[in-house]
Amino acid sequence: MAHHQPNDYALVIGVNDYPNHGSKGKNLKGAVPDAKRFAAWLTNTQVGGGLPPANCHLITSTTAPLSPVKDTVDSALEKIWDAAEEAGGGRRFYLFFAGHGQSITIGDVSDTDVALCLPQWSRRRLFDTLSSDNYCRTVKRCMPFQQVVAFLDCCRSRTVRAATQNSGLGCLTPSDIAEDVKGVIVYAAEDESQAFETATGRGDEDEEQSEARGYFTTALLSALNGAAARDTGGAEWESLWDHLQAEVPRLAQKAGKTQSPRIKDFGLPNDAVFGAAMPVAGGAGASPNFTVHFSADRTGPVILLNDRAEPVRSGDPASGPWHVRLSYALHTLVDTGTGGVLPIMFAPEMEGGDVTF
Amino acid sequence: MSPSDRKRLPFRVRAENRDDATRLTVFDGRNRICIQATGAIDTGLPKGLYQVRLERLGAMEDHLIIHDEATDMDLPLPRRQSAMPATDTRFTHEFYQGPGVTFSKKSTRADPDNTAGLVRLMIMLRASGERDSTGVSVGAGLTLFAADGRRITGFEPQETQADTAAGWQIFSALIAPGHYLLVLVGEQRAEFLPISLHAGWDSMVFVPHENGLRLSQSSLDMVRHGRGFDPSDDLAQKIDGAMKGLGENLDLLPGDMRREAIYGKFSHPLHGLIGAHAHFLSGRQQERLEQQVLRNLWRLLPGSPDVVALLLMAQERTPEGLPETIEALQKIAREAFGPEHPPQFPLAFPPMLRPGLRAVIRASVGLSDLIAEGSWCEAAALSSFDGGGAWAVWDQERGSVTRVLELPPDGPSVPSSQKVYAAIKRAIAAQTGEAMRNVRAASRVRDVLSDPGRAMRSMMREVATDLGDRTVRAVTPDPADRVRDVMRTVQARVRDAQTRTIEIAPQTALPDWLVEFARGALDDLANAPDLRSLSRQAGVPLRQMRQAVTRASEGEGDAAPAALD
Repeated sequence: MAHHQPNDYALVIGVNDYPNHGSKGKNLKGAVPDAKRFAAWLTNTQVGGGLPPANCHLITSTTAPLSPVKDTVDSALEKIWDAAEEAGGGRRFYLFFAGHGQSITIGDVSDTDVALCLPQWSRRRLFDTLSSDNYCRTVKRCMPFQQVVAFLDCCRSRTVRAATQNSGLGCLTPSDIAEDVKGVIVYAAEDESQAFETATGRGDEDEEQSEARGYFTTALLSALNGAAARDTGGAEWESLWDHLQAEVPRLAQKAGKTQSPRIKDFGLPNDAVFGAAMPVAGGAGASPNFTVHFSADRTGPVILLNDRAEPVRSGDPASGPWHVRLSYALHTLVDTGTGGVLPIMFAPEMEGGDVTF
Repeated sequence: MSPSDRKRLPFRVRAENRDDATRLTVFDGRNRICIQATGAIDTGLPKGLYQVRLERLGAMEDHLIIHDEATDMDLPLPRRQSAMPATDTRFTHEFYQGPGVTFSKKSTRADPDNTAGLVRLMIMLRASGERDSTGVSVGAGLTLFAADGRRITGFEPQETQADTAAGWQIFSALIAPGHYLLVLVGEQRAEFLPISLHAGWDSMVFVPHENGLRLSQSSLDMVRHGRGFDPSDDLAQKIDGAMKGLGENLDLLPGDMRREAIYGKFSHPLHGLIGAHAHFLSGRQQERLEQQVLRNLWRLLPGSPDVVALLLMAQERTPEGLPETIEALQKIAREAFGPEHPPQFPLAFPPMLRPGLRAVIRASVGLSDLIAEGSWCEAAALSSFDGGGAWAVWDQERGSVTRVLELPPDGPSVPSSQKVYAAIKRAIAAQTGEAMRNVRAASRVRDVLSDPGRAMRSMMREVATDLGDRTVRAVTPDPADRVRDVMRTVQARVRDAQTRTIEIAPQTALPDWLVEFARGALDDLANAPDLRSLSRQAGVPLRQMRQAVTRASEGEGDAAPAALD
């Protein structure tokens, strides 16, 4: 069933190019692909955000000329403002940023903003950043949206005394609904910490990688595409946030990194729904979506348990490989002979995959 | 049927020893959070698969629980990552703990004859992650200086102990209490870690090496003089874990640690310091307690810039706020710390902790003479570098760190007299066909070489090859020299070429980024800027903000300060 949200708008920014970041530049590989993936989810009318393509403004970095600059971002945001006003008001505004970021302290207390680094950023151009707080505040204060949701897949480390630029947009007096706007800023990492992408870090020197992806955006899209879906479709904010807290640290830890997402909450209801993805049903009878191979030293008998600790299948390893149907949930393989255990968190994009136990 | 509809079975899990610094989170099979608690969980959950996450001091570990009957188990504490080879850390092996313990009590270079009043500084550089650091020279580019610029060590092999296979190097020495700088010279910039040593206390600095040294991620332990490092010291572990986990957000220090620190017996000065920071940063106000804490800390760490910074934090929260003159501040300091060891103003050396440095900078907005001109404190206040973490690490351009040659202390890198003498004799014998035994130290070079001008050059090439030192080729002895003179010249050349001293000075010139900052502020503002506000925003002393605004508004050059405030 088609899912449309004609009153939702989005500003999606992905920056891979940082030629002056550090002495040798510090380019990323996964930020632009992640931004494109998120924009694709937003405009997907089957499982995604259901935005009309015209409502989703995707900005990705280029090297010649080196862009975007702050004005590019402000112009896109102004178009969104105009369109939402013309439509008589919007429902939800999404801000997505993937790239380098820096944490900065606001005032004398440990309240932090994140400086979203533009491609021009360097030790001498500390101001070529966007203030994530200010951009969200400007939308909340001035623009006709009921909800503001920001996903920031960038570091919150401190390598320099960062500075931020506020949006060039603004309003003399807050809009009539400004007080009632709800929302959340979701950070890929906790304050003073890095966010990473596969094989590379949003904060590390990059390495060759065919398909780099940020751990945060990977977990986010997995949740939005069904891993956090309720039975009636779509992911409620509470489930989405639980999923991010569970999965981002796990993905990072598998690569020997430490990364935990954080939020700055301004009242987004727990039952706010994202997208329309359905959970995948598991169990016997349906077509298989996963294969389990057995290694030669597996003794068995082996049991595959679902998230309710109920057997999905059991038998001798010699009966493998097993072609099974899993739901988007935690499963585990147990070798009752050796006591060996292998947890499998089956998630979107793992369909057709396999594991050797 | 939802999980809540199903029969619940007892679900009891505990962190090892019910450790109350450990947070437990139970996720169900669909990654939904069921329950969170510290130390232990005792609840009922429907049959199913669960993952219990333990988080402690920045470390995290998930445990799969197949909950098909009553669950009752103890879970091991997650191991945190730190350069300190403590028993609760990951990647810590006996081959790190052993040397850490040994050299926290024993010097790696000869102690002076009179060690009265000296304290120990041990600096351990070590591989701390999963990356293989085998064979890596972990101390490359690192030098320890006294605050007056005296070089203490360049981590040369003869002054340190090392195991390159295991990836560690240690410098340990008895030195005078005072202020020191650990300087890491990189390709373009040099990083500075301030270290203050105090009478009666030994300090151990652990610097992680993970694809390079990370000064900002260093760990520090302080123990009473002579007691040595204890890898299983629970308090030291908690302090290190809190500092690594919280970075400069020390106000988030767990309540029990804060209370222990400020009500405790100050058995660990660093504990007292971070506890006091946590108290002052959190906004709590208990005047009598604060007076007591400041006085106790000053007694333990007299002259500490960190304690002075705490005094400034305390003062800025009072209704009167910070005083307007240094004289008034001195009076307040005397009242707070007592008559002994009055603090020296202006401040020349920065606090070790970044929240303290921030407090000093904030105070310097009103007290423009608080920071000494041309000092390390000013350099730290002006640097745009913020390496994250709790330490006030700053950086300067590499150009501010200059290298000059000097006569070094003798060391194994300079070949011995016998070795050089033998090499010269071999080279002469090869030139002349004479037997080596006929070449004597007193022989004059022209007497043993038929054509000194030409043969001398090839002789020195041979000596250079023999000694494995190319610089010796450039030696041109006088034909009238005796062989022993040539030997001495060669030794001096090798020594000069192989050793060097780094000279340092604070970089306190107006930084480009600050001028850019001022320029941006002037562009945005129609009216004259409020200098104090800009100064707070940029996090720099008022004096430099005034200079930056002047330069931004008048173009390049050292113009007179603008009267804009």
